[in-house]
Amino acid sequence: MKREMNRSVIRFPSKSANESYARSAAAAFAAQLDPTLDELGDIKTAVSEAVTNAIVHGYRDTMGYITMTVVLYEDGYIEITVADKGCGIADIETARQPLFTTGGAERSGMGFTIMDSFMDSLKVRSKEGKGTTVVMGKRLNVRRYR
Amino acid sequence: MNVTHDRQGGLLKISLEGELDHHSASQASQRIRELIASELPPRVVLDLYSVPFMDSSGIMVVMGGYRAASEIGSGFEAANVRPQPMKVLKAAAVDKLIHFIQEKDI
Repeated sequence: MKREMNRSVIRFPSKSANESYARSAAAAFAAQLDPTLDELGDIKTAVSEAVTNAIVHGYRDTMGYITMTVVLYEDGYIEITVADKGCGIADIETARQPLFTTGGAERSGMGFTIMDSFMDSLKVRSKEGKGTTVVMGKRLNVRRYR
Repeated sequence: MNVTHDRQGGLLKISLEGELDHHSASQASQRIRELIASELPPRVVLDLYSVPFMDSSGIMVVMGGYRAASEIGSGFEAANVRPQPMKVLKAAAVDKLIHFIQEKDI
């Protein structure tokens, strides 16, 4: 069993200005694992997608709080959880398909596809009317463990 | 997100500066469409040298510029794309549709 090294939990309202805050905070915390620039870019991108989904879809017609938890493990694994208490996703499988969006012409529908391909694992739990939780994990090529 | 432009003959160069996400994308998209519609240039280059980061919202900004240029029959290229934005654009296969160039080719 991998051992937890450190953990950060932050909670912020679903304002779009917090998208950059969330991804910067995740990257700053992940820096403790000494990741490469590419790995940091992947983490920032995935966090940005997850938090944007919570803002644009979860809290579509309302404001609410988003909780982001980042856990670092000693073997160089990072796990990021982004949770909202918004409207939830009716059909997760469909929502995860590339180009699928309910967000209109300004949204690409690529959010889950990017989270999927930029991270090693992606789990989505959702209940209509209760909220959505996205758990993403990535193994970093931690230099000091090479 | 800062949007600046430079018109030289048939070329309209639009330069973005800052991170492109859902928060900044709609304003950037709107400005790009306005510039293309008012300048009506034969060729548009979207310079992304000063965009160190984009998420999937950036895909729609680049595609919106491409569509606006195509609608008036203009050429459209994206220039100086950094590694992280390039990875996002390639994840959406934008590189199959839009030509990416470097500074020397502008």
